[in-house]
Amino acid sequence: MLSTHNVPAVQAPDRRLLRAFAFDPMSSRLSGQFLTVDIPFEVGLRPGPDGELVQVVDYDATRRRWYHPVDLDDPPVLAQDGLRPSESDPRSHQQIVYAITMSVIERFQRFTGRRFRWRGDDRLRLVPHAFYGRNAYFDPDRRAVLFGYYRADETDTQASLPHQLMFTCLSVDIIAHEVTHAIVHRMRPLFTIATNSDVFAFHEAFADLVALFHHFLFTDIVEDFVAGSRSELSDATALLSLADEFGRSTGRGGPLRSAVGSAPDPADFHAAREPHRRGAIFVAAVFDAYLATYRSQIADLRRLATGGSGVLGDGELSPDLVHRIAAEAVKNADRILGMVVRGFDYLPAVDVTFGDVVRAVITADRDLFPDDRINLRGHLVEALRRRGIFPPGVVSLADQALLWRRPTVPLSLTAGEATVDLGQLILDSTIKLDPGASSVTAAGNAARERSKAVYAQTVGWAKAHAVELGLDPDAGRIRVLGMHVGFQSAADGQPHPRIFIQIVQRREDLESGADRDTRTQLHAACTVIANVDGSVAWLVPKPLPYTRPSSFSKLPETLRVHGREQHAAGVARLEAIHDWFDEVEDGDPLAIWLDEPAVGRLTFASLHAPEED
Amino acid sequence: MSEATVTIRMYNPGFGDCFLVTVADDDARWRMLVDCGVHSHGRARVGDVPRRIGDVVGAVISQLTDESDDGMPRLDVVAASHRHSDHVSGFADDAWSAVDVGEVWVPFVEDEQDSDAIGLRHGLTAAATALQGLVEQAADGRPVDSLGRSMALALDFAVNSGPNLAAATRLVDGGFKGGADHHEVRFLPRPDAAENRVELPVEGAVVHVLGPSRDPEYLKRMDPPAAVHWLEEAAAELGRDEEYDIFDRMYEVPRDEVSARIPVQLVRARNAMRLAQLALDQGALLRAASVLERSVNNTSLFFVLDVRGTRFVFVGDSQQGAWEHVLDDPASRALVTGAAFYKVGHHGSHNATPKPVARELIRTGGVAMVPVGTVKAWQDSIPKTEILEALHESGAHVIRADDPEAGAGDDDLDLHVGPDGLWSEVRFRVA
Repeated sequence: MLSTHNVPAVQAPDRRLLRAFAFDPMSSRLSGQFLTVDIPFEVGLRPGPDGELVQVVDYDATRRRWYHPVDLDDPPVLAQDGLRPSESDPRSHQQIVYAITMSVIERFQRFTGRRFRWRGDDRLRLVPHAFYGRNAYFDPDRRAVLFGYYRADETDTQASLPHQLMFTCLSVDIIAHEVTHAIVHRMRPLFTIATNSDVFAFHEAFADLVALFHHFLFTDIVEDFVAGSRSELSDATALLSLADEFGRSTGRGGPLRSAVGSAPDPADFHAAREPHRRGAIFVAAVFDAYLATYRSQIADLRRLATGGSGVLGDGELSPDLVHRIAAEAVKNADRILGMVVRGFDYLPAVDVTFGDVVRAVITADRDLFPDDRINLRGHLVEALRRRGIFPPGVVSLADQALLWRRPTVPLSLTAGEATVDLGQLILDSTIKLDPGASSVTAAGNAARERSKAVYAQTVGWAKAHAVELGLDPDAGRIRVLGMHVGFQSAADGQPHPRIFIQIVQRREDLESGADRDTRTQLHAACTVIANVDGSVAWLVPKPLPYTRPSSFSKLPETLRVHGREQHAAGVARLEAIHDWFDEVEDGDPLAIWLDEPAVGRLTFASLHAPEED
Repeated sequence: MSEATVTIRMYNPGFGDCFLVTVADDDARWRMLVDCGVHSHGRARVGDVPRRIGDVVGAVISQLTDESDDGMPRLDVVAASHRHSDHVSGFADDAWSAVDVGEVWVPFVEDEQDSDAIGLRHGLTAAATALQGLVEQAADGRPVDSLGRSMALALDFAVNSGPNLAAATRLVDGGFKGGADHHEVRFLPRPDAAENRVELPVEGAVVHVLGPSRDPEYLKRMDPPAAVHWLEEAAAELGRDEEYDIFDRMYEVPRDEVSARIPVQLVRARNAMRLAQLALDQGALLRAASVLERSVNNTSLFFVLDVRGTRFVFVGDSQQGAWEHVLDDPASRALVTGAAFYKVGHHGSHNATPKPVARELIRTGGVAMVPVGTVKAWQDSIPKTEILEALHESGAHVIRADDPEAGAGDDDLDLHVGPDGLWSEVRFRVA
């Protein structure tokens, strides 16, 4: 608890500063630097740390013992920006996982324009010394990120002593990566079902992008890199090395960052089947877009610094110049990552592909920044094109060709046969946004009851418009997986509220396997993006074959055509899913011994397991 | 040139392979035994009594004795497809010391002198040993079954891939005919392609050895060094002193102070996470074990017996990967498709017979023999119904070791079944 010594009492601060390694113990030792992580000040943070969103549980299952939990509100701790990071003090490990996790979550909140909550009253658990092993992973069933520790061997370049203990929980990369998995899982829970080769590849690539761009959150570190590089500023070597170095040394970003900075070849992506490889190409493309934006944004500074010649004088860069350039590097990292993260709400609810990701990011960005004044979108589309990532079947890379689909006939949540009372939803989302609002008002029982009613109305609406949404009115139960309002900042600086709804329909009739609980689930789904007046702006359907396509003949002309298209798309999608399942089955050494489908054995733990490297 | 016959007798030890192959015409006769072993959990039953592998060994030797002119049991070749128990455990039996064996064929990975093989063989053995150690430590004296199905399966893999010393010694170091005469050992395939085409004494009969591949890329894929590394590391760590600390004692909460020092909501969170189960990651262990199992399967000797254009395909337990290597080469592919006989790979399991070629493997009227006995734990997955159906639909007779009559059909297949279903035999005539 905070002290109440002063009269009148001094208000709690808005922010809490905590130190972490930059970006792991080895590189911190070499550079002599720590990060100072700037996160919201949680009032009522308990020892653990045990807060509203995350809970650090420092129990070591291998050695079956507890380590004393840190109290971050202890005055000596508060007075020095947290404990000094130390490999030998487990409490500083607890502090680091808490600090980095909170900073990743806060960044997400800022990009998506809404307050982040886990489902219900759940919190994400972080276990910094969970087990002995060269691994760390997000476990959706335990709702936890489990960090392993292990003994270094001769091949570990980041160890300073042979047989030294290495802690995965001390690497900013690993923490940011794994926590992003947890956040992605919160926003798209059905992305744990690998219905194509991109679903897990996207999970991985997205987690790594966030981890990679987290390096660019810390201005003083970026300044050091810019000052130390002494290269022509436009070739951006410093930024590349900042992105690259730490990822490789921790082993986590290694495979996913293997393509960063490489020469793009559109044929690569087309040829790549293996998830990590596809993810790596996506990560590289986003980083290309970042470098392109950065270069164009520092062109003026470069002209100023060189008197227009483009050639820097001898000697060290001026600290002022370094400061300004680093600021641009940080700002543009935020812009690019922000653009990708904002696209998240525009993704399908199931079965995501990288082509979908491109459409989602472009649609979201165009909604907010129609003019693309600094050509951010242009840079990204070009970078993706150069690496061969674009949705199949598009004939043009103009915005228009990449946008999601508008409804075939005007569609509204608030008009027509089944309507949804959006007022309550918007009010509750607004209350949650206010940092001063108590959590009882924001998510209390009354609010929960209200949101239940809104969900029920939305299910009714979805049933009434099933064919339009790519769902089957005659098949399995339709449910709303998630529904919220995002207040993202638009080009005019104003919040731009939008309603995002994920509607899913499990199709047990199309699944194979005896046990409905353990077999791989198949879902049709639709993401609905609407304005706050209820008019639907975009639809992102993932149809499956209809049980009674003949019934389309009773529908009006436009819907009939649409229904047939959805059915055909569903047939093609189901076929692709079966091909992929077969491919996974063939490659799985356990497939011959166990009845359960091999796809079910694809988990985050197995993706990260050392034998897969 | 007189008519030749090819006789293939499949013994039924249970879940395991044992094939006696005889090629003969009026002028010459050549005999080969391919594998002799059974899985420890998969012995065939005669009434209520499990059949011992020694019974099968005895039956093979007495058959050889009966056919011999001078009463000395003889084999021209013993081929051991790979080191798994269900293929070689029978060779540990001392009854073999009475048998005169001309040559032993084993995959080149068993060659101590072969530089391509040393790393791989060491890796496989080390992984099997570490794996077995880990599972046994986890069981801590209790039966491994009490740890659950996945650990029991992991232990099976480890034991199956273990050194099988007695059998290996006889096969490679000599132990037939009392070890008096050191038999010839061929480690196949050889680097020189010409040596992989073996002419037999019967006119127009030849064996083409197609695998395991010696391609370095392929060997690299089969070698599970990362898995081995991880297993050995974990085994070493588990063996360390329990009291060994990773932090100074002052940071640890003494066990009797946990309730006083650790906030109750953290204890609850730990309990909810079932963290105790993490100490040994059973899923990871099983995955590593299955990678090992597949790696050893993919060291299988893969060969085609070709008698005047009629082909008989033996693949050991080659799985995906090993098959790819064969099918990618057009000449090899031509040899394995349209055959008269196919020894179904890995007891008919999924991905040991590539689905896309399952329908092309055997010519109409040909024979597929499935060395399989039901093991309860895998009864739904091995043999894989889809594979057997695909073979059947391609027009082949599918003969299961545990139920030979069922696949015979009603046409003129020359099939004989031994007493108590000990063996089933098919004879082919080649003009």
